[in-house]
Amino acid sequence: MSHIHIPDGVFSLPIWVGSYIVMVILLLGALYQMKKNGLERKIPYIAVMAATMLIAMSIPLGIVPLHISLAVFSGIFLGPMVGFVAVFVVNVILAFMGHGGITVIGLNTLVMGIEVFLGSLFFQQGWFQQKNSIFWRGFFITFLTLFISTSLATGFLVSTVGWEFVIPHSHHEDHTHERIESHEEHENYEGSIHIDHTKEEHNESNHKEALTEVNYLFFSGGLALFIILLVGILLESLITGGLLAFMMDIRPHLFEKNHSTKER
Amino acid sequence: MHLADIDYMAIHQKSIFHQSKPLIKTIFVFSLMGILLFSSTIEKSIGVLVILLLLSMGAKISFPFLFHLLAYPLFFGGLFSLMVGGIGTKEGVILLLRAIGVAWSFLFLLLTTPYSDIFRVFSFFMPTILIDIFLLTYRSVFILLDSVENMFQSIRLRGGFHPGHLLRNFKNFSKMLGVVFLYAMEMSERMYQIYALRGYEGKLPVTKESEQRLTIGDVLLILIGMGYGIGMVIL
Amino acid sequence: MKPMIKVQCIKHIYRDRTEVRLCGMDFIVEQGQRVVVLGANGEGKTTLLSHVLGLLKPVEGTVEVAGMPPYENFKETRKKMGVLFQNVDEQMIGPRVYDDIAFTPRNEGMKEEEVDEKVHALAKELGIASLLSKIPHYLSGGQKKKIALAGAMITEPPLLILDEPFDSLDPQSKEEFIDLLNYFHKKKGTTILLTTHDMNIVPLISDVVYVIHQGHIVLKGTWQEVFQQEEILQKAHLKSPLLVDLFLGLQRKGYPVSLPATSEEAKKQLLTLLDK
Repeated sequence: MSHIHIPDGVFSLPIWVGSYIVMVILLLGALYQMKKNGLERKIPYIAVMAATMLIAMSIPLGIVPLHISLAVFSGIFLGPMVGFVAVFVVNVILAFMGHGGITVIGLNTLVMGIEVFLGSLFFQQGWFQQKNSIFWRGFFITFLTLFISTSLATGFLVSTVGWEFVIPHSHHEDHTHERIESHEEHENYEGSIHIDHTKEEHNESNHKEALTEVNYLFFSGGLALFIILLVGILLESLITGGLLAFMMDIRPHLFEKNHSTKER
Repeated sequence: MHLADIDYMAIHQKSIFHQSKPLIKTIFVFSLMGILLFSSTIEKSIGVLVILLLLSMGAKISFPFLFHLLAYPLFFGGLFSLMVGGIGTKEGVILLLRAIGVAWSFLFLLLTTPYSDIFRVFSFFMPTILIDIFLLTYRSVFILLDSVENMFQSIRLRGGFHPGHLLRNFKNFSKMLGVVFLYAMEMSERMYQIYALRGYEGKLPVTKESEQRLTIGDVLLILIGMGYGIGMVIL
Repeated sequence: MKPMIKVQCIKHIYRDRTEVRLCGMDFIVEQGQRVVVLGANGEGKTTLLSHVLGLLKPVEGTVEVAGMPPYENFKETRKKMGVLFQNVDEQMIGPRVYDDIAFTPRNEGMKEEEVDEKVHALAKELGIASLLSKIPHYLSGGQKKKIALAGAMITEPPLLILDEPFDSLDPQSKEEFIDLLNYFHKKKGTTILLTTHDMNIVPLISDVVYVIHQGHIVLKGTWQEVFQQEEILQKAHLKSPLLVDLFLGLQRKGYPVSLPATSEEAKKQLLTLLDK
């Protein structure tokens, strides 16, 4: 859910280079562990999980301008290392298609990597296990994980580039035109009232305008933004819980840690 | 999902740039990205976009499709350029041009180069295990997409997605994803088995490029790239 | 001569605790034979093949391929086999047709010039030389099957194993594919083991037929012998081909006819009968 659709050129050089360096270190570590533990047989598994994530991300949710990523789910099923590799592959392919900048791959992989790692950790540690239903267990683990990752991502973006970069997008192109036009109108209005404003004031007023332009149902501004993100987190948590419940129903042995097998 | 359309165009379209070497195209595209990221004038960024426009015409890329793909970076670039300084300011315009330019460069690469050739170029600087994963992911998307589309239509026809029933829609959506995931998992098991039977031990050997001579497209890209680079330094 | 494959009363327990058994007669495939395994869905055909391929290890019973248990000697036994699974899309690993066919020899460290020679020669034999630079995804089902067959036969293995190879093929592609299998059998002495539902092609591609029903091998023999056992076939939810059924009826009525493998043979016999 936390895939950041920021284009290239927004982040300064230290930020995107730094995030790339961290991502590469973690990625190489994950690949090294995979080779060491003979996890090469997981290669097709990672590939189909990445493919499933790509397909899931291409399906709009409709009621909010967001899409699910299945990152938490992949963390639960693939584990943190292997899940991180899958998330990297997904982000590279998305960036090549124009969904998020090439320079933002590092940051996107780290944010989604947090979801993979935390999802896996909470599940393995048996969190929420007192909830008998695997649906609710999956729901709460996903909700908590996404809340943490979204808060971290939002906090990072706010501290580095500003509130407006947290504004989510719509899949519907009509909204694209509406938003840009309404921003321009708003800007002209502001300009006519504050004739001598400085550049910072102009920027700040633009930032505030951007936030106030965010509308969802009856809400606007920061509250609307919060609600959009919360609804998105809720939806992905519901879907992940549903997925886990479905898997438990159809293939319960997948949740068993040690099952003897004489299968290649 | 545009991946299938992009892939189709990269393979079936014919132009001098489709014949160009993937390595040269990749270096060219990364150079353009570098120019865009580090340029501080509007003119230099516009110059890159003009080059991309001419290259796209030369590559016979469908412009309606290209602009549809550029809608995302255009929207976000526009939004963020407004925030940075406003669309009328220098910073705003540069940001917008950067966003569109980088996305356009990579789309030019994707639309003129089959995915296997792009990943082969990646193999120069990425571990082979990652290249294998990229190649298999791409293949898996196509295999799964067919199943997902059929399943989606089947559920729709059986009343599984209805505007008025949000909860039911999400339940059915979860189940559909569950079936897709199960199918994907079982597919991966079968894939691993057949690869093991065919001797796969962790590296997908891919045919190296045999044609060493430069094509017209290669020469054009090298000249444009060098020319623009020299021009930027002088100016 | 040792049999190529020998399976004796095996049992396997899957990860989801499902238990499968395959007992009854011993399953034996001699070198140079074409063996077809018939059985309704879920009767144990795929389990049998998976054990022979070395993908599953039996918890009871024995499996031998070229004298070795395949699961424990996977690297050795897999070199003796070419494999074609039901869904060829899933088994195509090379980004281009050429890469897919060249996959196994490259993995085995063959020199690139040798690989190139073999790929081109085999592609020519199979009539797919013009497809070598194509991307498999965009090809037809029949073309993909031929490519998969090329990928399986490139190292000239003595044994070719096919799981439901005629599914999703149109009649002409089916005919071409059968001809190709028989070509490899005749020219290179390849032992063929395949499973199928399509009863009509059995006479065209078999020396020996096995019938599996509820985890038991219930019939073994030539296709003529097997198709005469109507009662057992019925219990196994199978039906002999239309032509065979018709001619069995004629035989019971006392007409001097033999079971035809093809419609041409049937036509000839009927015309002879009518002339009389």
